[in-house]
Amino acid sequence: MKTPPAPRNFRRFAATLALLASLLTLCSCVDLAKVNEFAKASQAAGAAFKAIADEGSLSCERAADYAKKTGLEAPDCTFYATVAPGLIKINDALFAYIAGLGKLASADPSKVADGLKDVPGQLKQADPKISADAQSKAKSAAGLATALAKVLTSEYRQHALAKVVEEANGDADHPGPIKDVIAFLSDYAAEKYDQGLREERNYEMVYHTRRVRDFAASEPLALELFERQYQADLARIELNRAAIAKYRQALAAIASAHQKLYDSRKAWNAKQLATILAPEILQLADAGSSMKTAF
Amino acid sequence: MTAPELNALGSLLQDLADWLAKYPTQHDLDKNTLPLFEKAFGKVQKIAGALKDQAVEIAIPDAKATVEKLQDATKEAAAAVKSVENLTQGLAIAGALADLGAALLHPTPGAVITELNNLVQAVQKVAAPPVAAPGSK
Repeated sequence: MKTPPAPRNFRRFAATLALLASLLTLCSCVDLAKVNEFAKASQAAGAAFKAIADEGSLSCERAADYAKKTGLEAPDCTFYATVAPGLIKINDALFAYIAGLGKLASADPSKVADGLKDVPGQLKQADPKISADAQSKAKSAAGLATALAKVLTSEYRQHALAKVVEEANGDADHPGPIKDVIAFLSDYAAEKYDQGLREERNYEMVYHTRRVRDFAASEPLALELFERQYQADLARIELNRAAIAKYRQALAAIASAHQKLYDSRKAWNAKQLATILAPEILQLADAGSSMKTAF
Repeated sequence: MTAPELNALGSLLQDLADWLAKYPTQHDLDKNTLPLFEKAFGKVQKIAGALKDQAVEIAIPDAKATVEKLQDATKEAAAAVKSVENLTQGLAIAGALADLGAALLHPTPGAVITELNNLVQAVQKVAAPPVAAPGSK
């Protein structure tokens, strides 16, 4: 039995489907979810910086108090009021940039489908006599067009992300802003807050030594309570210092992850991104968790 | 002095201040010696803090200039996100798709391919790279 020839419009439809399918095959669609995961993991460290700054100011006040009690010249705490707000802004700028990368990496192209789903229904509305076959074809076309739009969006997103990473990172001859900002926050800002905590610890230590010498014999009970408070204070200071060390570790992880993104920007793929970013994502999660405990 | 030099010197003096504060806790100093340590500690600690403050203050203007560049990159990322979000609205694409659907329903020679091209162009147009922010590279 001879098969009847396919209707002309069906052949065209089949040709269109084949063309769309080949377009979809040609386009590369990279899953950038790991970039977003990296950005999210970074945020806890960024958010904790204000707590570090606030603690720095309080720490200086406590240090000044111990200095006065010991008859020493008190440290100058004006730095915390005048300079710290600028440091917070610099920290915020860095983490806003990282968040921007994450947002770009995670912008959901699947929502493209929302605008296209109703096309068969709209066609039916426009032409009540439209056949079920024609509607079915429109539905198939809508599905493919949605897929095409997703691929193109994804490609654009990848291109835009690569460009932003490239500019922020720079190369060996022309280092980009991210490296300088991270170096400043780690080597100067975090370093200063750590130094401030050491200062508090030292003033309290000197005060403690003096009190022990003066009252060990005459007030042993009071001294025992004093000793407990002193040990608790030292533990708090060391916990805060450890959190600052974690903040610096987070900055180093961000610099490393950003460099990896830059190095691989021309050949991103989901598996490779998952592999190269995994260590930094773990470090960032660990740093974020430690910092939450401290502050 | 440069910021790195001030920073490094501040670190050295802070290490010395740490030692001066700790030494009396580990050694039984007589009543005449302890005040000497306290006095020396007070001086060194004060200078260590001042050097660190100054190092940050000197480094900040450079850091702020760099931050501006980073903010340009952030704006660019945000603009790119907006383009993607615009795309997700699917408005322009929906229009092109409707035309494609119509071409599929009432095919005429070349119309389907033309409408398909229009659809591709609509997607590309919405997803066009954002205009660079003023002052950005």
